[in-house]
Amino acid sequence: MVNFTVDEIRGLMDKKRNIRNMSVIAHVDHGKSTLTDSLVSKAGIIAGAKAGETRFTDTRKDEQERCITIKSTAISMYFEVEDKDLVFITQADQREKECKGFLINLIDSPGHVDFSSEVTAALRVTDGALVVVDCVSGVCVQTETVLRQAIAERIKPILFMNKMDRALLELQLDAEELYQTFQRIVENVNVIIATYNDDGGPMGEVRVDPSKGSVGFGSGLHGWAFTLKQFSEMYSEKFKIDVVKLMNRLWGENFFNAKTKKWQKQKEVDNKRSFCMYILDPIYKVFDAIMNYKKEEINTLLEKIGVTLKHEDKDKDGKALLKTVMRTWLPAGEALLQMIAIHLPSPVVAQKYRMEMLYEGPHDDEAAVAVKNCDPDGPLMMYISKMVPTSDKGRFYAFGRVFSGKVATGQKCRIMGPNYTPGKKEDLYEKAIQRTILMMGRYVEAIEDVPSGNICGLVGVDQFLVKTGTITTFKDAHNMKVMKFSVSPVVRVAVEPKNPADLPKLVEGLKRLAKSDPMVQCIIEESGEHIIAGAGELHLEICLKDLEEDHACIPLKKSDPVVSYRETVCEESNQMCLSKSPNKHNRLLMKALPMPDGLPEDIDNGEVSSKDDFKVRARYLAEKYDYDVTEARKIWCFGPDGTGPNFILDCTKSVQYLNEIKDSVVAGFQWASKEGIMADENLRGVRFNIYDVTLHADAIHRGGGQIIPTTRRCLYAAAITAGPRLMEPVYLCEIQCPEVAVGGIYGVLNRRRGHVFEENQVVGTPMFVVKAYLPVNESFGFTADLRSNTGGQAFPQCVFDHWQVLPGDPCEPSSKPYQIVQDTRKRKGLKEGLPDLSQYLDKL
Amino acid sequence: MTASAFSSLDTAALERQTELTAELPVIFEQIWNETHKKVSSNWIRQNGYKRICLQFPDDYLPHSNAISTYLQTALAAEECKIFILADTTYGSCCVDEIAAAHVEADSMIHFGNACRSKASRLPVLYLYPVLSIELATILQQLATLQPECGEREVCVYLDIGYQHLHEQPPASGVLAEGEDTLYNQLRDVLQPKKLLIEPYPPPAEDCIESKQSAESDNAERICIFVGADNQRFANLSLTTKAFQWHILDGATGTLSAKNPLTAQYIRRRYYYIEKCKDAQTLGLIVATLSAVGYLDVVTRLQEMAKSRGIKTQLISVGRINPAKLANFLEIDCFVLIGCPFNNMYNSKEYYKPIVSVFEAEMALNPAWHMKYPEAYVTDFKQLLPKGRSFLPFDAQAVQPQDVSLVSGRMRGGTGCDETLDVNNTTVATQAKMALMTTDTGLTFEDRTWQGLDPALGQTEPAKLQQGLSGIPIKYSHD
Repeated sequence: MVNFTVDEIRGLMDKKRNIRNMSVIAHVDHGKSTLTDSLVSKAGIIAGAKAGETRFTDTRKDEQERCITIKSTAISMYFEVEDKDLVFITQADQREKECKGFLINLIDSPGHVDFSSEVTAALRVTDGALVVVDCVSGVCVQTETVLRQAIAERIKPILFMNKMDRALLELQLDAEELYQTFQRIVENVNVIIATYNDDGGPMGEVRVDPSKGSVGFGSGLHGWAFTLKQFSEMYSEKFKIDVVKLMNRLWGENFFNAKTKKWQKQKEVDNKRSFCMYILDPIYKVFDAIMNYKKEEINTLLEKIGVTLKHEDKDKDGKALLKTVMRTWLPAGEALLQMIAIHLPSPVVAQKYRMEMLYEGPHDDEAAVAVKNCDPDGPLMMYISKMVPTSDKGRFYAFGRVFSGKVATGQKCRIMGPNYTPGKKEDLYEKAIQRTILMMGRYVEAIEDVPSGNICGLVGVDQFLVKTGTITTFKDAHNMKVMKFSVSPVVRVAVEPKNPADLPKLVEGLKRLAKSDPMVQCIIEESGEHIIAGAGELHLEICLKDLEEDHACIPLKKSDPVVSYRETVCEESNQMCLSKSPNKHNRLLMKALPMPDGLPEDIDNGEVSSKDDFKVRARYLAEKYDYDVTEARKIWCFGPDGTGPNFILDCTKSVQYLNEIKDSVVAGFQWASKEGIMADENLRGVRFNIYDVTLHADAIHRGGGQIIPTTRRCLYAAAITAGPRLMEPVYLCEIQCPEVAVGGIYGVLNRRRGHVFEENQVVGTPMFVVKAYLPVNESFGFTADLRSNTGGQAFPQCVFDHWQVLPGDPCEPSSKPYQIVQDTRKRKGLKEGLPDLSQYLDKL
Repeated sequence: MTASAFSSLDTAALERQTELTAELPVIFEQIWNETHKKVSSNWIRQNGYKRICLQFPDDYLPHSNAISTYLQTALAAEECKIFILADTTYGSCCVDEIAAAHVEADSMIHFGNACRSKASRLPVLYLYPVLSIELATILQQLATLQPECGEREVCVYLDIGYQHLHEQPPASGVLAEGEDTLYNQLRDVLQPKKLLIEPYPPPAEDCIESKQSAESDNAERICIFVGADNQRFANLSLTTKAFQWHILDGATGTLSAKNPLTAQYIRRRYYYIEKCKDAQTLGLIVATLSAVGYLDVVTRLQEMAKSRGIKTQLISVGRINPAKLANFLEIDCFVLIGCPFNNMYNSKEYYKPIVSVFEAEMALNPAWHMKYPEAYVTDFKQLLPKGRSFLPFDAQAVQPQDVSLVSGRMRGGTGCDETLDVNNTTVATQAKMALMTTDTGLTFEDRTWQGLDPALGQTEPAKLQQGLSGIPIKYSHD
């Protein structure tokens, strides 16, 4: 039975130092959900015997069927920590005095790279991360990705080595080998942490260390786990050594000579590594005795480790007995709880250094200060990181973290979407919160109010937010920063209802789908296609299934996956392009040229943006890209959408009335950079220079109507004369496989225009990691192809990496880009063929 | 020097190539034969009109003088004055009463393509051209459709120019044997369950659509359009549900199948409907002055837009083109209120999308929220009360917030609860004060150039100077 009540939880919410917000992150199939079960069962929510099989946090039917987590799921749990363990919490802000109860808000996240947007959303609202690593496979691609994200968000990690049962039962590693494996994993993890974290930074040192107890070992499936702390507590009596000191002795180059009873720092013939001797040996013995049915030995061992079997467990033997014994001896929930309580930061600690990463506004305003202090009496600041579907179709709980103040049922709040700017009305709603709720995995509990430092759900906010947003009561509050995803929605499918009359239902369904996933994009294109864009094939598959079964509830026709392209240019325009306005009274002269390598990416990453001070930006462009400073100061705008990786630059010399037509030129540029001349796709990496402008002396003859269409024509002419090219998205593909399969990988990649740029053996394993670039367009069916060519031994993880120019001139009818342009034009219902320059270029 | 930069050489205007529309050249005899002469002079004489306007579409203009001269001579005794209207305000299909009013005309003869929108002031005589057609070829072509048409309802529409083929079917259903009426011949060839022959546009004024209403529930029928793949066909086929459309090209005598009202078409229009929902400012372009009810439509659209917090601007700019509309930089979407033949704009040249009244209705009226249109409505009168496609508008049902599938953002009025609880000090109660008050929809706050700064009283008074003179294209001082 659940061993806590909502009231108890509500009570603890005010004890902000006793709260731990944490996410569980790992590579796919390393056992996050299974391990989470241990804590859930410790909280009494599921029966202990079922832990490891239930995967309580996999709430969806398809998650259970496929044994893969798709959505991140939150659960709030109450635990009590014993007094003897509380002393390990040394920092004052890490525990309330006289309070044993701890509130753990845990989010279980998916491991598959296609769903890493869910991980991002989970990390944003938590302060600590339990990094799970399968000790058999070691640190994998996605382990590194999620860990890197965690560090970037200033999330403190702790490490758990999972699947020890496999290491013992299947691989039969001996104790020293197992120690080496552990040691290597810890090192690998610490290397990643050191790469992305600055030890001198505000978060301080975050590396994991078994001897400090921030690394756990065990088996989520069997429900047992330990840290060095558990074992040193067992031995400290015997050795008469302080627990903390003993923990240091139990890891690393510490050897004990049983004969001389001396600790040594080097391996010698008659001494033994302390970790193997005191920790692994007893476990090995238990395994050996039970799995080999050594009845007598079992009984003496059980006595030694202090496990008394319950009556109903007496008849068990083999694996079942092993499970029972191990989980009674070393209960996973207890070990995890101690790791979490002792090593993960409380909101009070974490928000001090996280505020500057979270808040867009000035760091000394009322909201910023309240967030920094995790002040429940300050103005409300809450970040909504995702939407969780309710049983009521089409409605969602807005799920997020209260960073300051208190959110309460019925409270009036300002709901600010990601496009809100202070002082303006766009994306701002003032509404009452209908209800605040506590997320309990597949259940929810109503709760009166939630103070700062906690995670909760809100009812009645979903209709004002698309996916994320900030909720506040402070009228001058800025937004909390939007999340930056590590993946991009580059794979698209077009859907249409089988029965055309279901179109309105499809549209409604798409809107719901857009809300339900942090990453997916649902778009109607001008061609009339309804597009769903996702991170990868699996992501799309799940989205389409949800759309068909839950959101639209109609049968759908789906197109094959397609990718979107970008248009660019490869050289400077070969002539000065002149276009005249419809009334022939105004002339624009422009040229297009490609941006230097790296600049479009800098714009994507916000290194160079429209918000920068123009002088600072010009200096940056001059230093890094050799731009002329005076020219670079006169960037008129970025586009498309005012932020995209193209810009228009004023190179004119003293033109009269020029500032009057700037708005019109900008409008024309936004238009032309959104709908490129070749295939109506977005432009990328194109710089347009305005060299001269001749304007009519009367304002009425140089209005928007004359200038906007002319700008567009002139930009098109400039693009056509500058060697137009297409760009395609490229995946970074990391494939893990045994050596024998490497040959097969090369074959598959070659056939798909991919190329390998790195090949490494994973130290200490027979596994190889192959890194390659693979055009997204060629990636459909790649996983299946790869598996069939490597006997199912290779597992790829593909993440969008960059845009790459598609070789070939799209104006050359025999080239591949030409074909793509024509197909795209046909699909969009545009006139087929090539654009005619004379339509855009005028003569003097 | 600058003058030549702005204006091209005079000869350029003469040498400029213009694009000709696809329609075949007009032959004088087709538009002005003996019947036309008789009908028009009789009509004028009988009604005693004195000032008569002749309205021509552009491609008829070469013949306009001859026609006008003929009428002038024929009606010399009546002392009539004949005027040629060579330029129309909106489309040549609409009767241009405004232009006619300039010469205080008391009647009008309208040539060529007509939308037959109701003219509210003037008596109008419509004269269609008469195109020759080989009946035998038609029948021969249609014979190939027999397998499809057998046991189905067949509807044959005759385009302008072919309506002389049309006769009424015998009223009683008793067919005179051996009589070679078109009806009988078609019935023999196609052997349909039921045969209908309709001229299009229908002869009565103001019923471009209402004709089909009685039969429109039968989606299983075959429709044949005798004419060409033109605007009239587009309009007719969009508004009429049919199993299959066929066009019998009268000029070439060829038959082709075409279904314009496809799911693809509607999905494409849904994009524009979505854009219309996204708009924060709608431009209502009035592109008709003669059609009855346009003011009701304007009021209705304004009311619907207001309930969603969308601002509207009423615009009248004559015949629209991209340059005219791009002057309204702050308008996000235009609604074209025009006659049924003049409200579909798909051109990519326009800076902002243009939707028809029907599409605006689908976007703004919550009653259309989950409804899929069976057929298109091009005549906005059908959307008004008593119209066939009228759906009542309920402001209460408006769902104010919504996700846009075009921009991926939230849209809908920035809903701040009107009744802010004053006692609740945690909420910013003065949120509204910071905002501008103008409700024209055209706010220039996002523009970088907001006009000259008058700096009143801060500048020295300037001396009077000689200004510019001449016409804009060539000022005298240059």
